[in-house]
Amino acid sequence: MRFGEDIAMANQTLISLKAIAEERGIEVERVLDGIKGVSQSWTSRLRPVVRKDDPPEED
Amino acid sequence: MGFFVRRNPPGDELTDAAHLLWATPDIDSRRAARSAAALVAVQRVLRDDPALPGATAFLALYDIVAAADPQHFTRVWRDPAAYHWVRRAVHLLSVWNGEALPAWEQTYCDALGAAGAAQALPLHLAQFGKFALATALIAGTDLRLPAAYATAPPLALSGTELALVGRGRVVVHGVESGGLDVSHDGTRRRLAPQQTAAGQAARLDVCPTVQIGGARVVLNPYVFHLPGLSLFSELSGAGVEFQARYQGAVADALAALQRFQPATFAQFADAIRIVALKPAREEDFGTLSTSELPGAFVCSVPADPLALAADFIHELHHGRLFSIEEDGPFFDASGEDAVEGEHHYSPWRDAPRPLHGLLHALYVYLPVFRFWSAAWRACELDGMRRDFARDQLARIPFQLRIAVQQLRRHAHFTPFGSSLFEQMACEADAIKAEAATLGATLATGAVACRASGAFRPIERSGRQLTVAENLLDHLRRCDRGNECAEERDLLAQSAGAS
Repeated sequence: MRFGEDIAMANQTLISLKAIAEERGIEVERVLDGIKGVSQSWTSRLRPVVRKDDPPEED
Repeated sequence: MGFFVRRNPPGDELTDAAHLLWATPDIDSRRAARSAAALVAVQRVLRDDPALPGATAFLALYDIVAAADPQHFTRVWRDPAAYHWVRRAVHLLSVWNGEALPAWEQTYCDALGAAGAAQALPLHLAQFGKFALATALIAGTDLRLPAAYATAPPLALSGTELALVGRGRVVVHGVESGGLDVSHDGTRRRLAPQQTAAGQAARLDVCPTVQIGGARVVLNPYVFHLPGLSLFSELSGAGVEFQARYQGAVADALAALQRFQPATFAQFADAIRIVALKPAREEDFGTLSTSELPGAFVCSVPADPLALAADFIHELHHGRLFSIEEDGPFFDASGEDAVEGEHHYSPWRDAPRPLHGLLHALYVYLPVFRFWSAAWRACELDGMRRDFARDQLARIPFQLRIAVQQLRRHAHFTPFGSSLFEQMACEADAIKAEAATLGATLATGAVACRASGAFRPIERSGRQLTVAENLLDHLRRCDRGNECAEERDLLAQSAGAS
């Protein structure tokens, strides 16, 4: 059984973990450096934010 | 106005602020690829040190997911929950290596029932099992998990329309014939996907979907049920049946977006996977998004289709700005705390806001204005909807002016943040002229969208206020630090003249 196959996939870049490991070594190393505390990685630099906007008022 | 031009990593094209803000088409793909690189890094750390708590069990799950067809993996990994998971994994491993535990991660550890990162790490790594389950469901293959996956529903299954719903603890053993093989209340059984949320203690609900053109969203409130987010309790009354009731409203809103703002619609189609609807009368917010769940947001219903489309544009752009921020910080660390420092008047909120929030508002209301402008120019609006559109065309330019002035007064931008801000400020100036061309001035009658979804004039003593009067009321009431005296005087002049 397949769910919602195909739909928004047509224009999307496929992500392969094998390809990422082989071809995006610099990005992987950057995250590794962040994990080891050698440098800040994207995830340690960004602070989580929840953004709520006010609700509509009653009549 | 010259655009700040920066060079992206080698091999990428030169770009400028406007292009980055509005046109760069692959922002979400880059974010997903970056988070997949983080997953590879997490796996490498654990493979290099299999004695880390939870490493062996995780690596078995990773191998299942890594062997998946890239199409199936991409669907799972572009799900909002995947981003949430990998960021927590990176943080917890960083703490293991001696970094301090950030407050948000402490909240996450607490929600897991863990005393700290060391206890949280194996619990968190075990949650990767949900991605292995989702990959098998999407691939249409059976899967026996190396170790059973224990969860307290609801659990959204990433990249699918499915959510495991029920009470108590459910242990998932694997995927069988398109359903889940589970143990619950001492009984082992297969849960098949079901379209109606009928009474079983544990069930596999199929969330409604809406597709318009290339945009396809799943109406799934359960995505927001993640440890530490503290958002789901606010949505607990808005299950699958509630979502299904408003499928038509979401379809109408997407159709309006496609018609009046096709470029934004294309970005929406690429970036947004999940919309969760909640009753407008419940909770203390109207719409919501979080940087930790890219591609998902919450909106309130009932709502007019065009107002809902404006909410979609608004939330889409919050997510887009979160993704842009991954390229570099907007605010210099030498200034005040731009994220937590809720010190400044905002024309959109009663409570003081941080500078980061004001920058977000400036960004998201530019395309909202353009949407109402396009709808107005199409000459198809009538009645109160037309009045509301005119209110928005008159109101937003002045609100943006206040946001620009507040940021000029208080923000310490990085060069990157400054380039984006100056571009937005320039555009805010331009739309002021556009509003005037459309005949939308501060003397326009003020109209609000109410919790019933209906538009109503904003009145005082039986008389409809102008937009200037309504903005002035808000400024007088909420500008506690008297930061916006210049704007108050301008509004007072306008209100006095009308």
